[in-house]
Amino acid sequence: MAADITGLTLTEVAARIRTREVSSTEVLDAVLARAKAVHPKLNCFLRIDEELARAAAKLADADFARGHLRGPLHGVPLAHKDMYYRAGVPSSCGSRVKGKEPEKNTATALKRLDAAGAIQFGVLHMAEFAYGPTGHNYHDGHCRNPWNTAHVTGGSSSGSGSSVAARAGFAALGSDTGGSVRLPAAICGITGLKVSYGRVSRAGAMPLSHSMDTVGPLTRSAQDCALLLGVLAGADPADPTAAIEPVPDYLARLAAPVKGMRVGIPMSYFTDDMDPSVGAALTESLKALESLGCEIVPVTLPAEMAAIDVAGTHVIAAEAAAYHGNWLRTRPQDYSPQVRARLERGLALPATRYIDALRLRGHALAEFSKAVFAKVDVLHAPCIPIPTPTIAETDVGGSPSMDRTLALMTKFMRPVNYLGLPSLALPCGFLASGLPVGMQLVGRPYAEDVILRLGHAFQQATDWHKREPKV
Amino acid sequence: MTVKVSEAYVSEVLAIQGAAVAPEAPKAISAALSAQLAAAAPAYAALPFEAEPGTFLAVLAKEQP
Repeated sequence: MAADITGLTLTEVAARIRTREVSSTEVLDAVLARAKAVHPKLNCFLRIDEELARAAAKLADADFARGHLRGPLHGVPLAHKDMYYRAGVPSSCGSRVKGKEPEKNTATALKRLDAAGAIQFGVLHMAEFAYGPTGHNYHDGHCRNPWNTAHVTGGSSSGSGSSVAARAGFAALGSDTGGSVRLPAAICGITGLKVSYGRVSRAGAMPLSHSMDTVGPLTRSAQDCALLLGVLAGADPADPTAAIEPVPDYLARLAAPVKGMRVGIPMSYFTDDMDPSVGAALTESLKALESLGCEIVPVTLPAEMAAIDVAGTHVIAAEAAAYHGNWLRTRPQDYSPQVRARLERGLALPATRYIDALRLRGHALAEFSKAVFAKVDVLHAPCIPIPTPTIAETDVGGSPSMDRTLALMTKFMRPVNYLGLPSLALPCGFLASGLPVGMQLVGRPYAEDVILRLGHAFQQATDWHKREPKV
Repeated sequence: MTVKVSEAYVSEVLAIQGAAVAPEAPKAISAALSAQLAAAAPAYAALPFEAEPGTFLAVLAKEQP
């Protein structure tokens, strides 16, 4: 019974609570049991708030018995990356710098999930200050991949990827500044949505790089991402960068046909350094899209893609260094050496180059849109070009090629953040090693409905997203 | 384009900002920044005089479907 519950998608479990097939308390019992079973192997939780969650589930059941349905997530237990602040509760952000003092405000994303009826039962592992692509954390221990615990989860939303894939949660919030939703989604074999810049309020979420940060969900299906985005998206007086564009009914739009949709395949940049086994899975995914009636169109990307990637690096480095400047001066010993070194790099970047990186951004987006979205509706691209590395290979001193491996992990991610575009990462195959391969579907600004629709259609035609790791 | 960020520059600029860095840090930072700045230099050099950071959000809104 418990496995039957934890194996449900978010959409399914929310529906079963609404139809009284299961209670919120029963769902929470199953999730807590699963979380306790997998956590010792995966190190995916930073804290489980069992007592509070049980009280909240009882209240949700009592409300429902009185006929009060709070919203589309009534009584569904969720845990999130430990960087979404809740008033009165400390958030460590995966660090030793924060986490002692209770936060003063609650993140808008959490408020919206609360209003939709969700119950928070814990907080999840993350890279220190969300500044790392692998899931390493030298303070909290490294998070582990449920498909093979010797391998990385991807980061920085490591616990979100690991726990949702391991059926210890139906969905989780992550954040994506340079790939931190899409990497763990792709590497852990689940579905993650990096939203357009500003689509979801960042208020009350730990800042890494305010120009690049986005809040997004990791789930087990495109449908679940659509459900959560409908709850999360929209303008917010607490975040002046939250977009005022209308929020469509993402779930309703999943039903529209994808026949005739033009899917672009890049002829450069995203083809670099491609491992043949990863490339083969991506090719198969194109065949599946073609069988759905999509038109596959080769597209030539702007020549300046490498510069776009570097410009994104400059924006993140300068902004992150500014946020951390005071702590770098007063508490450098509280950072792990790797994260401290990454942050210090930003201190040395000339201010004029940071401004240049921001000045280039609008031009780069216009050029990219002209090259890509004038011809196609969606760009199909790999998430990472190589098989998922091990924790040891990407650890300090673990391999002479460590720097190159880390660069390859982020190369296809950061340009999408810099351009502010939405991207859905989803599984599109498995390697002989048993590790998943992910693809990303990149859309026009605020066209989350389009990439979710295509991702949903792909998942109706394939079963990669239904595969479950044996933990 | 060759861009050279010297270790001395890195040490000075970090010292100005009050950051006490590890002895090996300036070398690593100078190498990384040199490579990054060289890669981005042509794109930055091609920016029109009037290009402003704020245009990004306007383009983001304009390029939606």
